Amino acid sequence: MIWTLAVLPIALLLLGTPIFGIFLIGAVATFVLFLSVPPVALHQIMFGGMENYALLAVPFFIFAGELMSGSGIARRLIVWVLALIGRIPGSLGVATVGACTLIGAISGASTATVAVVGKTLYPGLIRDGYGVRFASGLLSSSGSIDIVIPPSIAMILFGMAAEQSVAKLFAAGVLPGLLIAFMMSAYVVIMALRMRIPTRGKFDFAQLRAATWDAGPALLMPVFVLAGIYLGWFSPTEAGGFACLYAILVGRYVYREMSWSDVLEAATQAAIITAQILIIVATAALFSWILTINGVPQAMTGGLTSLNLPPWGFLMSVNVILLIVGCFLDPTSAIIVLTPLFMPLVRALGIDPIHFGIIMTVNIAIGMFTPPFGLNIFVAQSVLGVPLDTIYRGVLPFAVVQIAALLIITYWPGLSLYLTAAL
Amino acid sequence: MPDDLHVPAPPALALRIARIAAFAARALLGTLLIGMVLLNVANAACRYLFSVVLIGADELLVFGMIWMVMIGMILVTIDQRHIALDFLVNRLAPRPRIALTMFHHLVIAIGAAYAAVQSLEFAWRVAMIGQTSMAIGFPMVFAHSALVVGFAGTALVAAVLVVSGGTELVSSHHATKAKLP
Repeated sequence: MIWTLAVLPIALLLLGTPIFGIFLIGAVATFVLFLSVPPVALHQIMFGGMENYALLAVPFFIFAGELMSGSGIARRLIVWVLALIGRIPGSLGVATVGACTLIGAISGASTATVAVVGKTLYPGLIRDGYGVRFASGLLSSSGSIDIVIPPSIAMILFGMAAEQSVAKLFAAGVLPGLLIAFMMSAYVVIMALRMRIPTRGKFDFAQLRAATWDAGPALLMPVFVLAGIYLGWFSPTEAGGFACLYAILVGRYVYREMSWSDVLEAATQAAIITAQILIIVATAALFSWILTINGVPQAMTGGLTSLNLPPWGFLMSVNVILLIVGCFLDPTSAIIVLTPLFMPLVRALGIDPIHFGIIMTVNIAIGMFTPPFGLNIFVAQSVLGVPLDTIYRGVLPFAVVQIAALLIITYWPGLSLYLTAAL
Repeated sequence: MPDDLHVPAPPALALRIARIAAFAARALLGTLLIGMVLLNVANAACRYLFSVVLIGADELLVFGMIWMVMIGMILVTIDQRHIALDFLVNRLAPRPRIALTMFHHLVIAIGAAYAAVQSLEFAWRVAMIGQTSMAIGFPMVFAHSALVVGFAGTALVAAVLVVSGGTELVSSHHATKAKLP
């Protein structure tokens, strides 16, 4: 069975076969060759993998992100961040990190953030003298903050796979997300001073006031979404629906930058992206089920238990495994397949599942921009027109910064759990 | 094989029908998502503002999402936009690239065809026992049929892409031969 569950999928992955096809053919081959379970179970597992109310948040937050980039909301948020940051060394670089963080508080898709912020800020970064390598690395890596800052599709999927509260995961992601943003900004400031990047303009209160007035409805969007969840007005899934409606109303009637056909186009695009993601969820659920009935989680738990690792040692091993896996596997597959494998041991070692969810999410976020297969790298390549090799070298220092943040998040559970205590 | 081999173009009418169908499916997906957003918001608003629960809204939303994913899967296969690590494909010369892409489509066609057959069998059983959803008594065969349609459509599209890839490979081979002195 190792041929159909390990050798075949890895070979197909390296050959560039679509991820859902890999899980599907691996599962089909196992069913046909090895399992005595009736093959109609294949349908039941995949249907069950998608028949989950919490998953509705995925299309809703993707739609909200699409609406945000088409309605002028994202552009106004970027202008506001620039006005806020003003005259600090590397202000445009720091604004890039800030814009990705702020947009991450509305959208759930990291790749969309890289595309939106990249298109807007990349020319300015090059003009300021950051260089192609640094600028493309900064944009590819900053987009990954989106995954840690709620609302986050990765957290929704983890919540589903580990049967944990998505609202608690969202709350737990806020401080770690801000820590990553802070550490990235600090690195940008240091590098801007070393590269002698000229400081842009100066802090102008009138400009900030004007930008705040213009971006007001856009700035209220994350406040509305997150406050709604934590004040108990709506569930995370319903929050996604409200975010879409809010973005349509603001884009259509306040900023007047969106026609109804633009709304339909954004919805169509969001539906297609949702299909790309959720078909992987369905097939990965099937693959994960086959691993489970064949005792892989138990074997893995037994193997790791026999090593007598303390919780910190286990978490370190998890980080190493996830960082390697994240280089080769997309976030959706990694979460759906690996979460059920890790959770028995997480519980056995007394590690808080919410804290573990944040550790997994941060690892997955780093995987989004680590060579060779980080999705953000390919988006940056397409949007910025920069060669892959240049981006590969550009992201490495940022990967080191984010791994440092990951270690802090891993060994300081209070950072993740502080805000969940209030729920 | 004769040197002047000419690969016949697909009939114009068939191509036109396929394009119209794809356009209609895209518009349908967008409209479905907008409808789902409105139903979701209406459900939450009615609950908080009027203490009224829209019974079955959650079920309809989930079934709508499953249909959206399965129809979307067919469109993503047509556009060849599935998430994949296309590092190797992008580095190959044109002909090996076509061959490798054909192999990918073949894998998808086999997997999706098998899944379609199993889904059809399951949907048939559900239809036979007349299973309905818990809240609104919605016929579950309709929900389960989404997987039949999605996988069958994907298998069909992938098979067509294998054939068209083969045709492209043959025509590029003849074009290369024709260029030789």
